[in-house]
Amino acid sequence: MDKLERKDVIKLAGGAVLGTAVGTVFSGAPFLGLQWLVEWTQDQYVPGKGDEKFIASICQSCPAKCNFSIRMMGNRAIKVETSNAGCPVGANALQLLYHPERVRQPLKKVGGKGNSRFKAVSWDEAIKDISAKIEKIRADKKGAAVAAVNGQNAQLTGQLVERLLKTIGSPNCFTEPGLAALSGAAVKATQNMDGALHYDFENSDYILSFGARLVEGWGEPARMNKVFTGWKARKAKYVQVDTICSRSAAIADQWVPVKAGSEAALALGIAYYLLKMGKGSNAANFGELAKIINADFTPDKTSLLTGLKPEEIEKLAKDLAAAGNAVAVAGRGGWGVSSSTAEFVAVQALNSIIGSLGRRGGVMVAVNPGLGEPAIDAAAAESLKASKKLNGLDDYIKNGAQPELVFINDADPVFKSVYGVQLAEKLAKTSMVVAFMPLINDTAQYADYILPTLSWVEMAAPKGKEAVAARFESRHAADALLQIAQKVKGIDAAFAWKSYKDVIAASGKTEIRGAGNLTIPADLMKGFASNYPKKLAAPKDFPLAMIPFEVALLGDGDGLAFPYVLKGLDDTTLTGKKMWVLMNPETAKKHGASEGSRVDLESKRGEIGSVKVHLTKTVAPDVVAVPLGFGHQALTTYAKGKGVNPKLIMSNDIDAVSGAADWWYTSVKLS
Amino acid sequence: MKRSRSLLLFFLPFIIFTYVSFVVFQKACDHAMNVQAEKKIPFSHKTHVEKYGAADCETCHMYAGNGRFKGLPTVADCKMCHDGNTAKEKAMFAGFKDSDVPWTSYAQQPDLVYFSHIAVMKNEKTARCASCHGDKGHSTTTSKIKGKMPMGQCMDCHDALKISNACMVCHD
Repeated sequence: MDKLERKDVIKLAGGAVLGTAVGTVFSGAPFLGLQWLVEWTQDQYVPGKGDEKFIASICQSCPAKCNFSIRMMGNRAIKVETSNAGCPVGANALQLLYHPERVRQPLKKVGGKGNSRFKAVSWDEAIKDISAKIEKIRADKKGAAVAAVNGQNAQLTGQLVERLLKTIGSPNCFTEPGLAALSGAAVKATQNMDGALHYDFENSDYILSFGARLVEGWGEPARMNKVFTGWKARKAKYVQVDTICSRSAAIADQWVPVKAGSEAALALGIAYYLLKMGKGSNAANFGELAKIINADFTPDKTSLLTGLKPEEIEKLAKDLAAAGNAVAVAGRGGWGVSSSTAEFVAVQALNSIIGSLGRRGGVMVAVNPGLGEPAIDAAAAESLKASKKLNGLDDYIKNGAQPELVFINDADPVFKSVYGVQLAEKLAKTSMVVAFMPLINDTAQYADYILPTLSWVEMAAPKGKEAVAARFESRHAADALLQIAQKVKGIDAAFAWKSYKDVIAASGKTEIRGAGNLTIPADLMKGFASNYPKKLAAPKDFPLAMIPFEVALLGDGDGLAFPYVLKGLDDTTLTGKKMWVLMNPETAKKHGASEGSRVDLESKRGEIGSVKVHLTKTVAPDVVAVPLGFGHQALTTYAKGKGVNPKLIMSNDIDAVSGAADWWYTSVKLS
Repeated sequence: MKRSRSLLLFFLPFIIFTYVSFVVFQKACDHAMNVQAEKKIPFSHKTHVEKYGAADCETCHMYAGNGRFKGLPTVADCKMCHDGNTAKEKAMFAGFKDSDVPWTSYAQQPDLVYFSHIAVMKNEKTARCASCHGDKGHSTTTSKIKGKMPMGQCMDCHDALKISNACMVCHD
């Protein structure tokens, strides 16, 4: 045999290597290896080792306070279980708890406003600075130059904020426009008391909802879920009046499709038939309303306004009258609610006629005395007396004076209010804005201090329940408020509680009272009736009606901060950064749009674009249904810059009684 | 001579190593895929489906009263038809309790996903057992037919049937 030379060895080695390669490939190992690699990469974030345990906790995102069981591995919360209780908001707790963009410590603005650059500071520094500002404002007798916005679910902290403002001498404490604000205004206008409407859904047998999307985050979502399953079990009838086949309408026993914005007309049109049947109401001034009903809401007129046939309206009236425990519900929308006081009055009048005020299964008034009236000093009292009390946030933004100190308590009015742009301008000129929230939202961009607050599973739980340990330097907003107030000489006495647990103990319980003593605000209803047909008539240059709807889990905007929610959006809602709107196929054709067309929406306030069109017969003709919650300028990378915010062009007529703008119905065109 | 020697020097190791690496890696893959899962009693699906007319998979792979899918049948389930009275049957069932499942499953569902057989099978959509498990009904041995079922497989069917692929549908 010849000696093996170098090139021979290379040939041998080459054969061996190539043989191995071919054999490996054909054995299927690389393919399996890739599959293994895929699985290995997905296993990379595995919750830390630790003992598994389940803690019994409660969710504090809304007053329902549902029971949770949280599975923990060591001190990492893995899963929130909500057996037969809870709602998607609460179940998403971990998305907030472990959100990568959670504010970790108090942040202080650097540089100019609106450019959202912040630096971390200590709690002590922040509290010192804020309380010093309050002292200066009181010293300069500028108590009225303070304002606050409480989020919809502010509950206890909202009461503390209101107390703080009163002791400073400012009447400008507002709840973000929504169901709570509207309901409160309606109760004030018709019952002359401070409270909110409480519907006894648990005992209702016939529920006629005027645009209130009861299973889409309306009111207390978890309560509504439970209530809804109760209706199904009891075979109660849920009738949803809605311009689009919303999720609530789809799941209801009957969907009454009405023309955009005509819910109140239907309520009064039904009242017409009830009056004809001989029913009446002993509400004060009812005679005035009866005159309006008989003149302006006859079957023919109502039919024209709502698009329903007179027989259909009559059938609703008959069903309503025949039902045992019937109730009519006002407050259009899901998580975000927009309505007018007049609409609430119309629906309450209906409740009065069918006798459901103060009755089981009907509507009552919930009164919460809160923390009671604080002791205020002479300066504050004077300031309160002298200040013009504006009824609601939108009214304040439009007509209020420029504030010097603003508190934002877990709210996002720059994004959610139709006066958001004007509010941003006001905040840009405010010398100190303090925001209490766990994530930086659109409003927090204008803050001077952002104080990190707790997610709803970190808040200390009542006896027998546990909470997850608070992350980073977050504090309960109530604790932060107490710490600030206690440093201000002259008001500290009104905040003599150690922590928010003591505040809870001191806070009055909600009482449910009968709502029998209704007074119809006659002038309000007269004005409403005369303007109504004009309001609903679409001007020729803006022929379409823009109606909002909410995407599941997104609500009216806060949900988009969660990656989980973003991932769940389908491609007729959001594709990339483009948001989709819904139109009826015939209407789209009439206006030159087709499935997937890119259009801009324009109202007399301005234009937003571009959005894509999805055709569906679940939307009434001549309507554009637009999802709320998109078009954020901040609120984490998950929400920022996705879609457009329709509030920028929505109707902004301010309801005089509630001080909130009614943005439900906007005349638009495609451009 | 030089030419054939040259070719031999290359191809001899090439063929040997191809064969060896093929066998070694295939065995490794089989091991990774748990193809050697224990199958204590020999079983022919084809015989049962054709000879005994048990064409409905649910005859032996049934749901419990509360909807839970029972998976592999127990010896008791076999005894529903095979009383255990003949000598052959006695020999086959020797050493097993009624509650034993004499086969180890080839695949396990990972902890991170939630899957419900009844939710997928008992609706108006078109899923059949073979859609995911392959044509097991006509197999004659207990050897593995279907490999892994990665997430993409579930999502493809969901896409085609317009069922949501949002994370929360299957994952916590």
